[in-house]
Amino acid sequence: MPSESNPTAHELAQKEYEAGFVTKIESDTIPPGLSEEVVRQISSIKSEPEWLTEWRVDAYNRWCSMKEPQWAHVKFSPIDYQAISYFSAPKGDKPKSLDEVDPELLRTYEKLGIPLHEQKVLAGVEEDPGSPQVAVDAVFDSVSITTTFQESLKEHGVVFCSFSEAVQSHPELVRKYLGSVVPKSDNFYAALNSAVFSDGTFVYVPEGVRCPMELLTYFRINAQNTGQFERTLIIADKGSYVSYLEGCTAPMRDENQLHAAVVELIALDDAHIKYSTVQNWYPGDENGLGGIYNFVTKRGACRGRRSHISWTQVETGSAITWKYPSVILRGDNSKGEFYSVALTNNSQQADTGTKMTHIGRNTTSTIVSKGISAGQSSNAYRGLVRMNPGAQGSRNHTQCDSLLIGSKCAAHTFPYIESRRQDAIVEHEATTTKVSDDQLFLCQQRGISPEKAVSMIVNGFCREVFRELPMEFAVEASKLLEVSLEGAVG
Amino acid sequence: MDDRYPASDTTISTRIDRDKAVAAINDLGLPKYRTEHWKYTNPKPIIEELRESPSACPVAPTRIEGEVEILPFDCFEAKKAISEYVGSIAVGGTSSMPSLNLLNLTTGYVIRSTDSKGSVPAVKIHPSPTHCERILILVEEGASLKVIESSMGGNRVIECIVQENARLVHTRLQEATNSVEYGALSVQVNSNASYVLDQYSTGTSLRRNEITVDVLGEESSVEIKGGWNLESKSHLDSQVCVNHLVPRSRSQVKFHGVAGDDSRSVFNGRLYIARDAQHTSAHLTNKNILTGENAEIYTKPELEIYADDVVCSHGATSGQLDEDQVFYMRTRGLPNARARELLLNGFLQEVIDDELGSEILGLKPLNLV
Amino acid sequence: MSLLEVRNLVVSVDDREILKGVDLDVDSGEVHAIMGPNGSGKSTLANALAGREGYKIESGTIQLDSIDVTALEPEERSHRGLFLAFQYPVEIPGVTNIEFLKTAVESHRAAHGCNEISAVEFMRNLRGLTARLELNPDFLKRGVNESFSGGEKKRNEILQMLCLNPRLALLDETDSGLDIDALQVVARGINEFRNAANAIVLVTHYQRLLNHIAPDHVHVLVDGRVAKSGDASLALELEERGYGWLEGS
Repeated sequence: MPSESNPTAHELAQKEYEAGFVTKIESDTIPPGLSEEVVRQISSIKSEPEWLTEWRVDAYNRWCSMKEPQWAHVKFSPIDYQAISYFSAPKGDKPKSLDEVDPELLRTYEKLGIPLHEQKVLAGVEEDPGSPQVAVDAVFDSVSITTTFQESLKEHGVVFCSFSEAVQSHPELVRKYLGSVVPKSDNFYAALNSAVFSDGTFVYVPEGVRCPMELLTYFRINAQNTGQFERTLIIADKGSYVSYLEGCTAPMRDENQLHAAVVELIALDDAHIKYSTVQNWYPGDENGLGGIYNFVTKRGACRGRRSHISWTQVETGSAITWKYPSVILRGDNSKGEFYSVALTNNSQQADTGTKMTHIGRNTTSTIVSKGISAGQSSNAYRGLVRMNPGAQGSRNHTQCDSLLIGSKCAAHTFPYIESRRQDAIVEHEATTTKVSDDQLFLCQQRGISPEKAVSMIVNGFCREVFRELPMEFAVEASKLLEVSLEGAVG
Repeated sequence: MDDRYPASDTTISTRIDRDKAVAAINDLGLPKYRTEHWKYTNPKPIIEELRESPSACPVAPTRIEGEVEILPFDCFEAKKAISEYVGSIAVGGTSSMPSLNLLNLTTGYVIRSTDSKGSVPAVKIHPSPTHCERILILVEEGASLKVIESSMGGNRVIECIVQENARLVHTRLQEATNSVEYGALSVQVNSNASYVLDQYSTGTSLRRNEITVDVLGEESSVEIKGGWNLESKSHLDSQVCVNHLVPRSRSQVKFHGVAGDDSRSVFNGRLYIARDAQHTSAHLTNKNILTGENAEIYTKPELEIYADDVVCSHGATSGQLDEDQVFYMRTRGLPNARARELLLNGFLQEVIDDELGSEILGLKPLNLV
Repeated sequence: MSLLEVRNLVVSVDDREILKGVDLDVDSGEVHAIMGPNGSGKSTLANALAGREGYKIESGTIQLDSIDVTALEPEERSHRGLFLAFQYPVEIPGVTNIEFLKTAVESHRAAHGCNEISAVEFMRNLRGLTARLELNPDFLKRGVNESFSGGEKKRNEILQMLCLNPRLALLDETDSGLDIDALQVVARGINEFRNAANAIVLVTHYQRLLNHIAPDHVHVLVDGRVAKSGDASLALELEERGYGWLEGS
């Protein structure tokens, strides 16, 4: 119970969102406001080729005539796009080695448990020579700070670098694939991103190569009144495999900050991309003040035959999440998967799900969505499964479960099924449950506290999804759930 | 607005609150194709059809069958019920269609039951293909009523009130026709009352059903089921919404549909559980089989839940007949076509417990001889 | 001093008084049986002792090892050695049995300021117990009570009891839904558990379980009060004469 005589209330809040600190570092920031001028300025800071500058300007012009989507089951006050700064980078040139990186920045990642030294592994994982290494691209506000293991990846022909680097080093690949999955006028936020995206990650895995380590991009928003608009492009050439992880945090601030990313995945014949996200943007305080608006467009294209794209997401952060990682199943026998845990507490709102578009023959998709609502939060699953007339023998199975904790939260399910193919099979099931008093009492009778019991029950509810995460992420995800649920039982 | 939708100048129109209808239409606007509620169906033919409704009003005679009375809107006895209820139950919520119906009304009547023994035979509502019609069904406290409604095109809005401890059993037979049909059905269910709807639909060039049930009383139950069997280029759009607004009520919605040839089947089911509606049990399923090469299925079973202590589920499937089952039957000597027919029969029979239903859906009874 | 001392316990559920003043003393090393017709308050007593929400203690006290636990949370009573085997164990999907047991054991150890138990030791102990209860080792990897048969659920309750090694075990209708083989396995588990330092309270409608576990004391609950107490012979008398002769007394 909060009271004035309780000076630790603020400390407690701090504890609930451990990544909520601010790094004091000097930044070069373009003043707030958006215009064609600003778009050109961003492009020029990054010394981009002319085609890309014009591509951005075109996106900007299209964005000007677009409206924010209204259909999501979320409420928020209008965003003033002129009050946001569209570019912020730590002062100075991009460091050539870790020794040149501002020590304050290094400490930031150390605190977050993200290894920027190649001999270190992710926090929480025991240092064991046998444990898999993880290559990291660290994006701080609008730019990439450093990318580890680039040399050893290069030996395998794998390109893992910041998006800005890729524009310089692999312009042909960037030009060929950028916007090919998410067109620049796809939706309001994608158009905005296309105009102002600052940095992000680029991955190319050549034909027949199995990427030897997990690739991780860690996104950090630090600067105030700044939006983050990163762009990720992953291309898996024929017969290749890559597992990519994405993590994100932001300081606790009273203002809402906008994060509008675009992620495009391309899988050619027999390629397999596994994309995992643990999203822990600052969710705002218990009264709904502050937090990140996470308006993200993520889409994968299974272009090749037998290609396979799998999205796994654990969404615990953000004030508002608006996100539908999707797969376009164009190649025959291709496969799309979506495994999701979305937890909302306090005043958080989530409208998340997926789109599976079956175009090729014998394509299959699996959707497992677990929504957990606590506090006064609202949690919606929105999904579309479409069987096109050519999707002979294709199949989808969707399982969509909601768990409610407390009587003030809300859970919604909006599944769209469209089938224009008679031999395609679509199955959708959904249930809604609560953590029952009987379950709680059984746990308590066996000596387990209600908080621990709820987190155990919720973890059990999410097991099917956690199983899909790489091990070190699964541990992190499970811990995050526990922290995010704090105060949900009373 | 009034210029575009001239009032049908009959006696019944004077008893209708036209201002309210006009206000609703102004407020909500006319339905538009590709908006959320009209994503897969173009409302234009339905709106155009309204302009062609005859302005004359063939008045049904007042009838009294035991404790059930049927009162045309223009008879004196209907006046009170009209002013009290008509237009207030089918308010449309997100749709201005029921208000358009009110504004263009050519015929209407009240069916009122005080039959506490349930001894009155089913009241038949006949097709009224060229009219814009409204029916108010009142089942008074403790009474029961059976209604068998047939339709073959036209524009009909039915408003039902099932009072405390009352029961309404409603069978809808939507027969094949070439015309456009719009039917809205809005039901209020009070404490301890039950509403049962069986709806069987065949194809027509365009048929739109909007069913909304508001559960207003505790310990009440709603059971909606039905099936459709669509052929050629027919188009059926069913929107079903059950709103649980109080604690301790139950609902079950179950539809099976077959889409053959070039038909289009649209289903949108929605269970809404309000914050106060604890201990609700609500279930929704929609299963579809496509038998036509160019047939299309669009289904969306939605849940919108604001109460935690509830048991809710929904499910939807779209597919074809199970080839293993077909094969199994063929190994037992059934011809391919007969095996499929039997399986489709079985699929639809799961939602039919009425001979009228089998007849409408064109199911051949099993030949046991 | 008794291990369990219940004094004049009055409990209501949904504003209806179910227990109307119950006294009960259980000493270490004893087995008590609480019998009574349906609706007499047997399960209410078990749930009230375990501190279940909704079982409102209007007056009276519950002492465990001379400490008043009447106002304690269910998990605190558990930490002090009170165990309730449920009549209808609830399912917890996705939470594996092993995870559940480990968490329970850790919570107990933490409450008593003990270190975490090593995973190896814990598993060795657990494997021994599952074997004794004739449970398939796979059983531990399944969700708690998730699609367990009635017999498996009851054996799982006994497994948890053996794992947590309580001072006082309350077994609520543990014999219901068991076939004769399962009953013997469960009874053997309970008899092996029994020692001079702990105590068992069997809540049961029938004599059946008492054929396998001999009680030292039998109490008959009628209409929320202990109508009669006696030794094991009272249970046999009830088996013969039913409860009718005690009602209205």
